[in-house]
Amino acid sequence: MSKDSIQAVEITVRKLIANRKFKTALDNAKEFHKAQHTTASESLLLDAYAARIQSLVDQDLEPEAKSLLALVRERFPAAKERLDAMRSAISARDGDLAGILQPLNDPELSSERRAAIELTIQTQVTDLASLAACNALPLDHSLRQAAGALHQAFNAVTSGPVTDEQIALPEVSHRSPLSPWKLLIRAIAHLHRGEDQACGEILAAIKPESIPSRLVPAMSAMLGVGGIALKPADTDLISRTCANLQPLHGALASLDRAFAEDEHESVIFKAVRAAVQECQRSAPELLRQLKQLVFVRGGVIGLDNERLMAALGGAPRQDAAFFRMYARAMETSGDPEDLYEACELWDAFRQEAVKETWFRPNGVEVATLYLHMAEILRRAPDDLLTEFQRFPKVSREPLAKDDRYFLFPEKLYQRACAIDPHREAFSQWKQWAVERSAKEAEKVCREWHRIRPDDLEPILYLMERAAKRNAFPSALSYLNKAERIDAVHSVVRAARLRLLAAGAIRHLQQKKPHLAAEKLVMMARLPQSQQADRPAFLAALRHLVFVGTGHESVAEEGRLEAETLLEGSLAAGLLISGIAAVSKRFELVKLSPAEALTHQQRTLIPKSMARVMAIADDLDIAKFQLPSSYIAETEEQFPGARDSLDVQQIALLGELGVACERPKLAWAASGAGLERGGPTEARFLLLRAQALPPGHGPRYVALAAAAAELGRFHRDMDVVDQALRIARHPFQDRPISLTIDQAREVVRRELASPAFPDTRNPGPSYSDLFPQLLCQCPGCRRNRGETVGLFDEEDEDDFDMSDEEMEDILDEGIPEGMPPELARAFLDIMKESAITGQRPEEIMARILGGGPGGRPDGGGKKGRRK
Amino acid sequence: MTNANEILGVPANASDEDIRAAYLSKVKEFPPDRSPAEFEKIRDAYDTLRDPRNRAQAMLLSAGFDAPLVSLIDGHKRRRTYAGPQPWREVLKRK
Repeated sequence: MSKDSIQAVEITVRKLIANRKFKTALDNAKEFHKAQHTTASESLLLDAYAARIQSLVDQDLEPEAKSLLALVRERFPAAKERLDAMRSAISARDGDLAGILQPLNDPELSSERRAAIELTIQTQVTDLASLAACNALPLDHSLRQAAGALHQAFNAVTSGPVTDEQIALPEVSHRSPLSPWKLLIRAIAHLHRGEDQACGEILAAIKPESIPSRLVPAMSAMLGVGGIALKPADTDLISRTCANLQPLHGALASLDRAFAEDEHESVIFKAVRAAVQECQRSAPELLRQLKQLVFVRGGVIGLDNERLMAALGGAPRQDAAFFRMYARAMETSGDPEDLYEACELWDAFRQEAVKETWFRPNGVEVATLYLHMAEILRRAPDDLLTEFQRFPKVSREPLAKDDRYFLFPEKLYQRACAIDPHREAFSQWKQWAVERSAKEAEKVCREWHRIRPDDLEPILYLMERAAKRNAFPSALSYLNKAERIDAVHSVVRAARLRLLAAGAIRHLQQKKPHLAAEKLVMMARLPQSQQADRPAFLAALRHLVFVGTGHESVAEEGRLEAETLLEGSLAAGLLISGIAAVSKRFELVKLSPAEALTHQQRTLIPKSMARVMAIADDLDIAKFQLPSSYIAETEEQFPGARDSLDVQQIALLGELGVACERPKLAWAASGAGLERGGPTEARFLLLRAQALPPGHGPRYVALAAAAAELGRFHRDMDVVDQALRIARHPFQDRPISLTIDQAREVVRRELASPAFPDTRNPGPSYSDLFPQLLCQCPGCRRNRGETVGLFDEEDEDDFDMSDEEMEDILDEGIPEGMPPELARAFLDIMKESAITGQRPEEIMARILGGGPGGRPDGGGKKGRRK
Repeated sequence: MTNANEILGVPANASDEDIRAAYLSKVKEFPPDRSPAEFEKIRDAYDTLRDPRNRAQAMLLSAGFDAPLVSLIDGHKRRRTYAGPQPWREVLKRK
C-alpha cells in the first residue's frame, strides 16, 4: 500500500470512531492491521478496540466490555498498561474497587500512577458506600474515611434538613479526589434551603469531568435555568424533588379569565375553589397571597363577600399588605363611591402597618399617607363627599364621628402637616383650600405662616388677599415680610408697585384724588416704575387723578405723555378708559365707540388692545375692563393684524377671547400662536382647548394632554398644571398622557385644521392616540365594526336630534321665563352628555370655567355587582 | 416593592444606610463612564429612595393588585421536597 493509502485508511477509521460507528471502525482497523502488521496499524487497532470497549461501558454492557478487554489484553500484551487503566475504570464503575485501590498501599507508587488512580476515582466511582467499605485499603485510610463521611452526608442532605456541621466534612480535603462530592452535598443543602444563588455558584465550581457533575443539569433546571437537555433520570429526580406548578398555572389562568370576562358569580366561585385547592396542594406558601388577591379582586367587582370567603375556604389574612392592596384597588376602580372605601381601607392599613412595625405611628410615612388620602378625596365629587360625611357606609365596623377623620380632607391635611410640617404638604393643603374658598385658603395660609414663617408662598397669598380686600396696610405689612425673606423674588419685586397701583385706583374710586396723587408720587419713586410700559400707566393715572381734581392742564399733560409713550391716541384712550372703568369713574373719560373710528384706526385696535392688556396684566389690575365694541372689533380685525403682533400680544388677545366668551377670537389667536412655534406652543394648545365649543370631548382632552407634554418639554409648569387638570381622567390616578412625538403630531394636525370647529367640520380625530377616548355613540361604534346592542340603538335614536327638532322643542317646550338662549345651551349640554357620557355639570364647568373635561369614555363601570 | 427598590436591590423597608450602601455598590458595578444608561437609572432610583417622602409615597403605591393571578407563580421558587438519596444516585449512575 502506498503511504497515501495508509493515511487514508487511518483517517477513515478515526472518522468512524468520531462518528460513534465503533463496530465498523474496529472491522476496518482489523483488516488494516492484518494487511500491514506494523506498529502504526497495531496502535490504530488498539484505539478502535478502546473506543468499542468504552461504547459497551456507556451502554451499561460491563460484562461484554470486560470480556472484550480480556481478549485484547491477551492478544496485545505490550499494551498492558493502557488496558489495565481501562480495566480499573470499568471495575470502579462496577463497584469492584479492590483492583484500583490496591496499588495505593504501595509506598513506592509513582506519582503518575497515583494521579491516574485518583482520576479514575474522581471520574468513575459512583458508589461511595463501596469505596468506604473497600478492604483493599486499611480502615483508617483517608480515602475510606472521606468516602464514609460523604456517604453519610449525602444520605442526610437528600433526606431532610441538615445543619452546617453535618455538611462541614473536615475529612474531605480540597485535594482529595472526592472533593467534588463535598461541593455537591453543599449545593444540595443550599437548594433545599432556597439559597439558589449560593447553590448555583457551587454547581459552577464542580469539576465537569467528575461524577458529581452529572447532577449539575438537573439541579440547574431546578434553579430555573432553561434550555437544558435532560435525561429521564434527571426528569424523574426533578419531578420527585420539585412541586409541579402546571396545574396551579392552569387553575389561576381559568380564574383570571373568569374575572376578565366578567363571568357569572357561580363560575367565578368555582374557579376560585379550584385555584385555592391546587395552590394548597402544590404551592401552599402562595396561598395567603392568593386569597388576599382574589378577595381584593372580588371586592372591587362587588362579589358577595360571604360566598367569596366560603369559596376561598376562609377570610384572607387582614394584614397591612392586604389593606394596602385593597385600598389601591378601590382608589383606582373607576367608581367614585369606592374612593371613600379606599380611604377607610387606607386607615386600616395605617393601623396594621404600625402594628406590624412597617413605620412609626407619627412618622413621615403616616404624613404621606394622610396627604395621599386627602388627594383621593379631592378627586371625588363634592356632593358625594358631603353625603358620605353625613351618612357613612359601614363596611368594616361602626366608627365614632371623630374616627371618621379619613372622610374629611381638612382633617387629613391638618394631621399631615402636624406630623411633617413640610412646605409641599402645606402647599397641597392650600391648593385644596383655594378650590373651596378664599377664606378657607387664607385660614390655611395663616396656619402655614405660623408654623413656617420663612415660607414665601403663604405670605404672598395673604398679601394678595389683603390687597383684594383693600386692606393695604395689612398687604404692605406682608410685603415687608416677603421682602425680608427674598427681596429679589420676581413676585415680591413687582408687588410694591402693584399694591400702590391698586391703592391709587381704590382712592380714585373713593373720590379721594389727593390720596391717589400721593400713591402716584410713591410709585414714581420706585425704579421699577420706569420699566416697559409702566410710565404710560403712571401718565394715564395722572390724567385721571387731575381730571378729578379739576387741574385740566396737568391732566392733559398726562394724557399727551401716555399717547407719546404708547405711540398713539387709541392705545392711550383705551388705557385711560380701562383704569376709569376699574375705578368706576366712567364720568372721567369719554371714548368713542369702535364703530365711529375710521377703517385705518380700526385696523390698529388689536395691537392697541394687546398693549393695554399687557400693562393691566403686568400690574395685576383685577377686573380691568375694555369696551365691548372694541373687543368685537378686535375679533373682526385680528386676521389682518395678526402678523403685526408679537407672541405675547397674541396670547393676551386669545385669553381675552376666552374671558369675554369670544371663542372665535381665542381660536384664531391659538392658530396664529401655534404657527409661530417655539416655547409658547404649549400655551397656545391649552388656549385652543379652552376655545373649543362643547361636543368635542376627545379633541379637548387631546389638546390638553399635548399641551401638558409640550409644557413639560418647555418647562412651562403653569401650563402643565392647567393642562393636567383638563387631561386628568377623573377615575384614574394619572392624567391621560402623550409622548412628545404624539404631542407634536397633535400640533401638526391642528395647524392643518385652522377652521373653527362645528358639527359639520369637527376637525381632526385623535382616536389613534387615545383608544380609550373613542366616542361610544352607537354610530361611531358601528363604524368601528363593534357590536351595537338593541338598547344602544334606542339611545342613538333618542339623541340623534336634528337642528329642526331642537328648534321645535325650543319653540314648544321650554319652561316659562327661561331665555331661549339658555334653553338652547342646556339642550346642547344634555345632548353632549348623552353622546360622550360626561356629566352635564362637568360640561358646564368646562364651558364656564375651563374645568375638567369629564369622563370622555362613557358612563359607569360595567358588571358592578354591588 | 417599587421599581426603584428593585433597581437598587433593597427591600421596601430598607433604612437610609441600606439604601446608600446599595447605591454605592451598584455605582461600583455600573460606573457612569462605562455604563451611563444603567448609572442614570441607578441615580434616579437613589434620588427617589433617599427622600423619605418619596420613599413613603413609593411604598404606598407599590401594592401589586392588578397583575394577572398567574403572575403569582412567575419566578416563584417551586416548593422542594426531600426525595431521599435514591433518585439522586440514579442520575449519578447514568452517564
